[in-house]
Amino acid sequence: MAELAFTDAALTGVVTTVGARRIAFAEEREALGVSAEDAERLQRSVGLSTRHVVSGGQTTTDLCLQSACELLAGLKLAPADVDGLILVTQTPDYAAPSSAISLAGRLGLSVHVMAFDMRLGCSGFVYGLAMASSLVQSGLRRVIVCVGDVASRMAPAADHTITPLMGDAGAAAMVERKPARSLYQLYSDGSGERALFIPNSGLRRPAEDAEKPARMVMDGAAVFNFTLKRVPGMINDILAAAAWCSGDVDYFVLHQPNRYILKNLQSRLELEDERLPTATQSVYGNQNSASIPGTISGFLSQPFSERPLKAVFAGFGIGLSWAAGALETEPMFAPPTRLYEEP
Amino acid sequence: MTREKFFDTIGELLEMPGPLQPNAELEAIPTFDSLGILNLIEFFDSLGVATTPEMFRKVKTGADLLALAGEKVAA
Repeated sequence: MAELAFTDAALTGVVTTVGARRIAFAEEREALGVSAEDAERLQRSVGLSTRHVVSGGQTTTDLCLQSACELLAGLKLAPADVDGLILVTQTPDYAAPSSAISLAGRLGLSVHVMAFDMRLGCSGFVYGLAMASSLVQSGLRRVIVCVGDVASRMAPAADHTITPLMGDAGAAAMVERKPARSLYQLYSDGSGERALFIPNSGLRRPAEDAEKPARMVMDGAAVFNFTLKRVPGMINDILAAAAWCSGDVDYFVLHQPNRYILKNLQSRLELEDERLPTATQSVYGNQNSASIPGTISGFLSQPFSERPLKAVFAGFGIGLSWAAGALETEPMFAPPTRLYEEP
Repeated sequence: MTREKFFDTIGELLEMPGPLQPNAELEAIPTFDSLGILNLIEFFDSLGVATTPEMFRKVKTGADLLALAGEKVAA
C-alpha cells in the first residue's frame, strides 16, 4: 500500500452541511415498490430510516460552500489565511473544469491559492486528508478539504437497493501546519470498477451499457464482499503501523454505507458500540465521501471539540478504493451537523 | 459445524420459522433475496468459505448450499 506519515499537519476543524429535505423510508417505500413487510425487514436489518437530500438544482459545491464558510468563521480565519482547497467529489458542478476552482472563488480565496478536484467516493475523505497533509507538511499554511456528493441526483429514481440509501452532504475540514502525528495507508483495485459505477457518465461507452441510463449501478453483494475482505485487515494494518493497539483508539470513524455492513465490521473487529458509530446512514443517508466528517458532526461533535483524541478513519467503496488514517487530534472546531440554508 | 446447526443457522438468517430443509427450493423462499444473500455470504465467510453472489444465484436447494460449504460442515 501507499503509506504517508506526517508530524506537522493537524486536523483542526470539521463542518458538515446536509441537504435540508428529510425523507422517511416509511414514506417513500411504496413509490420504490417495497412491500410493508419487506420495508420492515430492511429497516430492521439494514437500518433504513431517514435521509437528507438536496432540493432542485442544489449541488455539492453549494453544500461545501456553507460548510467552508462556517469552518473559516469558527476557526476565526480569513480567506487570506488559506493556501489551498481540495474538493473530493464524484458529483462536480461540471465535468470540466475542476469545481474546486469556482468553489475557492465563491469562498473568497485569492488567486494565489491552489485548488483542484479529486474524483473519489467513499475513500475520498481519507485520501483528501492525506493529500492536504502532504501539501501542508511541504510548506502550505492551511488547506481546506471539501468532500461530498449529491448522490440522490445520480441514484436511480426508484431502485430500492440504491435510492433509499443515498443522502446528500458536503463537508469542509481544515488541515493546518501544527505539530500533530498522522499516518495514512491508501489502496486501489481497478478490477472492481464496475461493482459500483455510473455508466454513460463519461466518454467510455461500451456496447453492454448502451441502454443504461447515467445513474448509479451497484452490485451490493460484490461491494459487501469487498468490504469484508479488505476493511478489517486495513484497520489492523494501520493500527500496527501506528504502533497502537485497538484499546488506544478513542473512536473508529468509518465510512457509513449502512448499519448492516458496519455491524458486521464491528463484530469482526470486536469493537464496542461506543467507539464505532454506526447510525449515520440511518439518520442522514449514505453521505459517500462526506460520511466520516458527517459522522463526526452528527454523533461525535462533543468529544472531537472538547478533548485530545486518537482516532482511526477508514473509507472504502467505489473504485474500488480504500484508505485508513490514524490521527492524533487536539480539541477542534467541530459543531453539530447543519442543514443547508437557501442563500 | 454439524449439518443440523448449518441448516438451523440458514433458517435463522433467512428468517424462516424453522431450519432450512435440504430439499427446500430456495427460489420459493421470499427472503432468499439480495439481503438474504448478503447474510449467507457473511455466514459462509465465517465458516472460512469465500463465496460470491453468483454462486448463490446458481444454487437451487438447501442441499446445494450444503455442498457449497463442503468440508466445513461435518458429513
